[in-house]
Amino acid sequence: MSERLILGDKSFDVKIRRAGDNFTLIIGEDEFSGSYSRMLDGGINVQFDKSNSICYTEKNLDEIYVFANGKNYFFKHQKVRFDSVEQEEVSDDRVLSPITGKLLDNKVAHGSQVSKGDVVLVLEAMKMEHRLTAPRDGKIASITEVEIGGQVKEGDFMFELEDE
Amino acid sequence: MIKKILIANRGEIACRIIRACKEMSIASVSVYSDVDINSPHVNMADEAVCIGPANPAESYLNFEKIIDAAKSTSSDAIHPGYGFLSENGDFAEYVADSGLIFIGPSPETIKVMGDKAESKKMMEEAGVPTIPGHDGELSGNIDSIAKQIGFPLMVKAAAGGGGKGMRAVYKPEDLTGAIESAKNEARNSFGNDTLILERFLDKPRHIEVQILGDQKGNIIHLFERECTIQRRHQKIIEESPSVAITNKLRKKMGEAAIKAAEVTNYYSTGTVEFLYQDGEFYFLEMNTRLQVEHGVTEMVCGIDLVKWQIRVANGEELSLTQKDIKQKGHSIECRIYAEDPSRNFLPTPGFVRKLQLPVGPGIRNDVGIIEGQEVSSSYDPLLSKLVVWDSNRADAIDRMNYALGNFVVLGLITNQPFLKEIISNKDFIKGNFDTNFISENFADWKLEDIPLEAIASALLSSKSSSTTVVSKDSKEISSPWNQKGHWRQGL
Repeated sequence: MSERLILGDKSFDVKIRRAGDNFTLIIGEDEFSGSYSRMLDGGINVQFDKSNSICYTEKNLDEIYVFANGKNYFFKHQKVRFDSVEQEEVSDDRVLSPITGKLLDNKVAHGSQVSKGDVVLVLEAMKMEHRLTAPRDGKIASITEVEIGGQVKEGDFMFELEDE
Repeated sequence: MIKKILIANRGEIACRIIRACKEMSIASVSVYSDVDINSPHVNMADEAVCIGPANPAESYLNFEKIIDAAKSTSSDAIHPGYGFLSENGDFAEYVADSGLIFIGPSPETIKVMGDKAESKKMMEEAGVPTIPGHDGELSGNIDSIAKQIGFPLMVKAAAGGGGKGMRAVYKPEDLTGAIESAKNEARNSFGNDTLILERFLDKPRHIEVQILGDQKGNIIHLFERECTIQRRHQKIIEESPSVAITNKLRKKMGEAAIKAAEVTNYYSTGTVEFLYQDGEFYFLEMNTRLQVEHGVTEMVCGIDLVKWQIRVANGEELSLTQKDIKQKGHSIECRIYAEDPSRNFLPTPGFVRKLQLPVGPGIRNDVGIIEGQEVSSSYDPLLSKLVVWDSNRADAIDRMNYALGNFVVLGLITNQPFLKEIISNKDFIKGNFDTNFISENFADWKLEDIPLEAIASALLSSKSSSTTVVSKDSKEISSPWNQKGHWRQGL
């Protein structure tokens, strides 16, 4: 079984083999040998070629937050079997909320005709407005049932355009 | 004598003000909204009063609730921090009418400086340089008006906003055409084709001067802050001194700032903001409050501005004269925001699952979060201000690089890696930048170069290799992480 780490639009299929304090990291065709030790504060001291780096990690469901080499990283994490390396097609016609915040305004109704770039919904997070626009010309097939002023979470379904 | 201060704010600035109170042995009272119950400012203060729901209008911006909290705790003064009610002249007046002391300038000063057109006029009359422009009737010899203002200039709709009816004109021969098209656009967009001509600063720096005054009319300045590194018109890195100006200009700007303060009968702390380009500086606006980035001034001048605000509000006279104020060494601030620079700086609320702050000589953290806290989407995404000091700019940059490189914040996305790349940028290091710096150099920024250590530690973090499988709809069937972690109890 391999694991997949996704950072933004990058994706790594990786594996790790451990033997005591030593490990081999396999990224695609490449292999890297290193060693590690755990620290009392939860840190992991990772060594490659005699240079060490104190790293910290925190996990939440499929998210892994990592501090390494002076920067904080955010990975999406998947465990994948080789035979099921396929991803669900995400349609451009389904628009999800990019943020967690409040629904500020709803500009169009279910069934309305919209043009590409038209503002459909207005969200607000941390005092900033965020406009969700139509990705193409079309008709609103369905739209969120959250009421104006209600809360939305990142990844929540917002609206969908009808098939062309 | 002020014996107890209510802080009408939250986050890092509330914590900063409470710290000053504690050092001065003054009692402190925090106010908080429902969602802020676990915020550090609530526990740091001697007392805390819940003032309502998350919506600022019903809590942090609500005059009555704040005054009631102050009265019920027998506070004698209110510190507004920055943002929220800090530049609301009506609130300052309401505080005074309620028999309490407002820690800041007078309501009259706040009101007059809040009116941009009025304050610009006042500054012109006081001889403080303002951006050259013409806002009268555009008739007669437009060319000579334009020549007086100078090129490049901006043709702007008087009723404008959002970039509509605006044209930058670089050469005199393009002026007539630009006026025509701006007029049409203004008429169509706003129903009003009145135009303003103004000098266009295409590569400005934002440089501001800190001032401090008492109620006896003594005013000093504490030199400048360079605040040019901005995204979406908001500062993210500030420093003092500025590498852009000479000592002669520094003196001139300081004097102009004092003039601005004098004509508005200013007391307490304030900031006069200027735009600077090609050796000239122009008044932009005056902030009648404590500034977010006040820390860099405190570091180079060795003065605690919040303590002085409190002393001045108490009626004390400045014991400092202009001669006592020296800029020593160099200080830089980086603002750590819960935002994603690779997605147009979108706010990124979440849980702070781990927080480990850098320590060491010359490193200061003005922090407003604690481990385990939820950063909600209700408020400004500023988490912490990381400030460093060293004897010169190059060393201060090295120190910031070290400090940022030891700033561990996990559980939500922050701009920490972005800040680290800015301070390593060649032009930043040379001091060669204007307000377009981020949009020109980091427009499509993404976190590149993932180190092996990051990938290794991500995989090593689970104690043993697990047998988790991912079903087709990507929901985890079983995972050891789902059972782990004290932070999840709050979810």
